[in-house]
Amino acid sequence: MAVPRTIRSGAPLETIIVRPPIDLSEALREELSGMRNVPGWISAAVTRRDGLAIQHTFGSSHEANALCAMAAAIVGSARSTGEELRQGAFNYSVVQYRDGLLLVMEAGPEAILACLLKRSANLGLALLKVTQVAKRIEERLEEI
Amino acid sequence: MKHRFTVTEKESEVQFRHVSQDLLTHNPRQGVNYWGGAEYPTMLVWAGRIYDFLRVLEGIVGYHPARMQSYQVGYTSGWNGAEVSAGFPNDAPANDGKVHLLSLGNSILSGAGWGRCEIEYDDATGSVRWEFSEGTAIGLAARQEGRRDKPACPFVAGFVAGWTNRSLGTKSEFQETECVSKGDARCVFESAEYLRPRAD
Repeated sequence: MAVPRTIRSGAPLETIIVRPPIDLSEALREELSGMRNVPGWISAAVTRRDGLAIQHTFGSSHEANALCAMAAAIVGSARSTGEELRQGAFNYSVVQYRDGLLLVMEAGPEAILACLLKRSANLGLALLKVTQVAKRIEERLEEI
Repeated sequence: MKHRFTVTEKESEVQFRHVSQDLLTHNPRQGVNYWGGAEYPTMLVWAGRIYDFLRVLEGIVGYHPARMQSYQVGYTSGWNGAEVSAGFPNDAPANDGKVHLLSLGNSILSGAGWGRCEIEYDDATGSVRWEFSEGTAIGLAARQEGRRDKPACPFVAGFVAGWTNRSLGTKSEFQETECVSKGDARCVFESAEYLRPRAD
């Protein structure tokens, strides 16, 4: 019997991205782009609770996919920790790095909004804006 | 047109000998097995240990992220399995290659001990359904651990998604609509172009 040869093709995980309906996709892109005027804003993504990217403004899908998976894990871990410590529901998470800030917030019961900001960003203003956008994303998702 | 691919119990026996014996080669120096000429090492793992990955992750990050992490690993496995199988000699007409590759999925799975299943593919709508009438090996292992309220087989959902997408050139996602670990009689995986995320 002939021994088959393994043939390399594109990375399989790249093909996992599942596109939402076009109208929703454009609406979410519009919402994310609306955050550009927040000083220090770098990029943002909306992901499902399981970490599958819905929409993003990152330059590469790979980068967005990684952030979405990790944002879902951050929310999941924070919720589990909150339950374990009996601290109630999760609101938002701010992770501070040497070079930047990662802000992760639930956008309703079905999605998560993750924003990458410069370290020098005005966190108060960013939180205000992200909260507003998260609310609108929640409403958009309820439409489908 | 609807396509349906089944594996009878007799065929499952034959596939077991083919997939789990003929297609396996052993490298005695490494003590490692290789399957179908692929360069990836292959080994026997208890189905319950695959389920443990989900269970442990669930305890840390919750079901939804844990599901997707298991799904992605299964996806790569299914994609690579179809990739290797695409290199097997076959007598299918050239224009039937995609469907033929999809049809190999259930015989490979039953031969490898993942569970005997039937695949339904509607080429008019693009919908694909994989039904394991007796449950998947992972689902059966999970059921032994106790009844769950959420499916136990995201790894298999990812596997059938990877296999299907590699075969048909699609970008479908799969959801577990029935799972023996939840008390259902069988495990069923159905394709969807876009799944609305669900709250707990």
